[in-house]
Amino acid sequence: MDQLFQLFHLLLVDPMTNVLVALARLFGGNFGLAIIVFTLVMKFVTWPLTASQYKQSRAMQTIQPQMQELQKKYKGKDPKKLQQETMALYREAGVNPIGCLIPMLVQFPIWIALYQVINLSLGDTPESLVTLSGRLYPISYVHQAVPLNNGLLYWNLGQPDASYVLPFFVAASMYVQQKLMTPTPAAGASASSQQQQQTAQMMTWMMPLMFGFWSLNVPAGLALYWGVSNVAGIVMQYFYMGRKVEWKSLLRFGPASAPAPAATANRSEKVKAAPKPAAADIEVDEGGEATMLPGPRSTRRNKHGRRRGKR
Amino acid sequence: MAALAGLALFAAACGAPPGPVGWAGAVPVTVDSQRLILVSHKSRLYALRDGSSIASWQFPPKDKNSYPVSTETSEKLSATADALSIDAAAKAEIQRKVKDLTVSGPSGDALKKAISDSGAPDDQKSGAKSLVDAAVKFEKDALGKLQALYGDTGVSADGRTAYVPTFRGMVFALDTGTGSVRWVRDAGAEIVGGVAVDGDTIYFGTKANRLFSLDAASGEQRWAFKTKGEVWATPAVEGDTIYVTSLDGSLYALDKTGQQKWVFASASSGIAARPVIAGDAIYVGAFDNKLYSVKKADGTMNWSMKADNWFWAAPVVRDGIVYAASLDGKVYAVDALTGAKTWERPFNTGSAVRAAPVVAGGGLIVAAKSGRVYKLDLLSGQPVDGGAPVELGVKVLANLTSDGDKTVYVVPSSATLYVLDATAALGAPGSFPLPR
Repeated sequence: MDQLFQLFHLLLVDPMTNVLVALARLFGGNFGLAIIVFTLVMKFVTWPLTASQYKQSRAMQTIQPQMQELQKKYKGKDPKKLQQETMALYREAGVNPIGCLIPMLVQFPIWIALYQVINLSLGDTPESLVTLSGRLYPISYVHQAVPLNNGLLYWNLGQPDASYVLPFFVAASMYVQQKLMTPTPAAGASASSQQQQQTAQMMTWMMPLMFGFWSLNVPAGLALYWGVSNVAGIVMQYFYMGRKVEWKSLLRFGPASAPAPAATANRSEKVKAAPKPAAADIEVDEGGEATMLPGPRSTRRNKHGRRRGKR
Repeated sequence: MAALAGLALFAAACGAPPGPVGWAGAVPVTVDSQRLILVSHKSRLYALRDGSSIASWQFPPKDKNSYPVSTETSEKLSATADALSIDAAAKAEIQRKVKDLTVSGPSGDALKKAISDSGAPDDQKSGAKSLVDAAVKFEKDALGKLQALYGDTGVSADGRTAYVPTFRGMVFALDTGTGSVRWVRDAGAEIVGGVAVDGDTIYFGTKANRLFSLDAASGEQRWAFKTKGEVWATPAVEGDTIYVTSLDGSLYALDKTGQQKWVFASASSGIAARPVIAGDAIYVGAFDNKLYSVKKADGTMNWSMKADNWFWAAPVVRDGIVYAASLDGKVYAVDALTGAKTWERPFNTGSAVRAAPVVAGGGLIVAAKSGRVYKLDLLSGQPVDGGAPVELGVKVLANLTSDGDKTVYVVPSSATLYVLDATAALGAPGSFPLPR
């Protein structure tokens, strides 16, 4: 465990510490500006993963009807076949079931490392400064950056923000980002699909609330990272979607015109009868690659029988 | 679910950051022919009897209900009682209650009741009771605001008063015989450095970019000097000049009225080390990895010497040689006049050195952060008699203290005082666990 801890420091905490301290010196010793620049750089570096996350989650949604059909066909009868067909469907749609998790998993170590970097670099205790001296690379530029300015506006970035401004900023920006990533359930979607999408909708609330709560308890520097990261994510998503974002959807707090969940007995009929889920802004190309597309929804299907979005 | 699992992971990995622990060095004092060693651990100060783990007193006390308010408060309340328009018997009763007043417990209410029953005019009663409330609250809060002790305790020339700076910004003047408080002041910001005592005046700096001068007897502020950065080191006083370093990278020289004489501002990073005065120069290490020699007369630089990491420990000057330990783990010896290296190579302890070394028993005693303590030959820089270091097995960041030329006190991060016999090669230290 101790070796793992040391490896984590060697590979992540120490390089991040030195980069941030060097950036801080570049910005006149201001650690807050260093965090903002670092966040933007990290956002840029991890953008391919984030874009992949968007694609994966949307593609998963588009194949839900086919998944339900397979379930209906094989569940309880031929589990092996069900598994094979499901995997084939994933392959066909270019979906990696754990693909959505990768960007998230990549970010967790960064958050943990950043938390430790902030405590190390902006810690209010003299001990943290002694520890910091041992973490800095033998480069005069970073050695001479200390003492660091831990202030940005009125925040002490080494301490939690007791004014609630940063936690609110984090929660609000995360809500917007989550909302843009999660489509509102379409009216007439199957009960099962409705349920899944309601869960996704719930996450658009849960995540901001949780991060807002966390921001009350972690150093303001980390909350700043989250907030700036969210805003950068929103901006990148805006351009990724061809500058056509349905901003009004931010005020839609649930399945606007969705019917009441159907009784279990009627579910299969509902699946057949209901229009396909709202994936009009997703196109699954010939290689199975799902792409977010702007524009009105369509019920057009491709040659594989899957519905296509229309530009 | 992935997000929730990740947050759980985040929560597990990101516990609360470690709080301040403190690293004040030991201070030996003699009070009424009794030898006491003032040792701190975290937020407590212990007055250990020499050569034992028995504490004559500890501060703050475990039982605040029986801990008297400061002498200053007691005298102030006594004077207030004397000024009340009441008969002698009622005054005597109030004086008794003032004498019994403690920082916590029912004694405050008893005193206020005595004032209420004294027959004094209502406005006098009201004023006196408010004074009791304010004084007791301030002192109770002050005792709860120690947090950690970093700065070395200053002791008056007669050994009767110890000036204890706390990380939360309180300065206590303690009676070294009993551990009771003579007076307490709120400096308004954290204090990392120690208190320098110069006759009837004490000096200390704070993280609010201030150097304070206080009357040692009363605690009244004489002046405050504003620096450009935080003051983390104990000031040094010689003759009519006070020298203080700052994280703004400067060494300031002030006269005793608080007026700046000169400032040395050539360090390209902060200075947290205590300046050391020897001959015509001041020696101070900085966070730009350099040790500086500065002319005492005008603050111009004589020379500088570069290490591989910051200097935080105060150097030692002996027989024309400056011995300085760095956070790069090395101990350097340079000629005090020229800055030329006098050892063939610096001695490498293998671990950062934050604790200021001392000269004792004809050698340089150095404690590394790792808990290894070395005695180095002053001329060669090699361990005396080829001796192995003393392994304390616990982190050492507090300045070492020599008592005479024979004994060295080491205060580690654990609740123990180590006492080394420096007369020969270092052997097993005396170990004195602090009272629980």
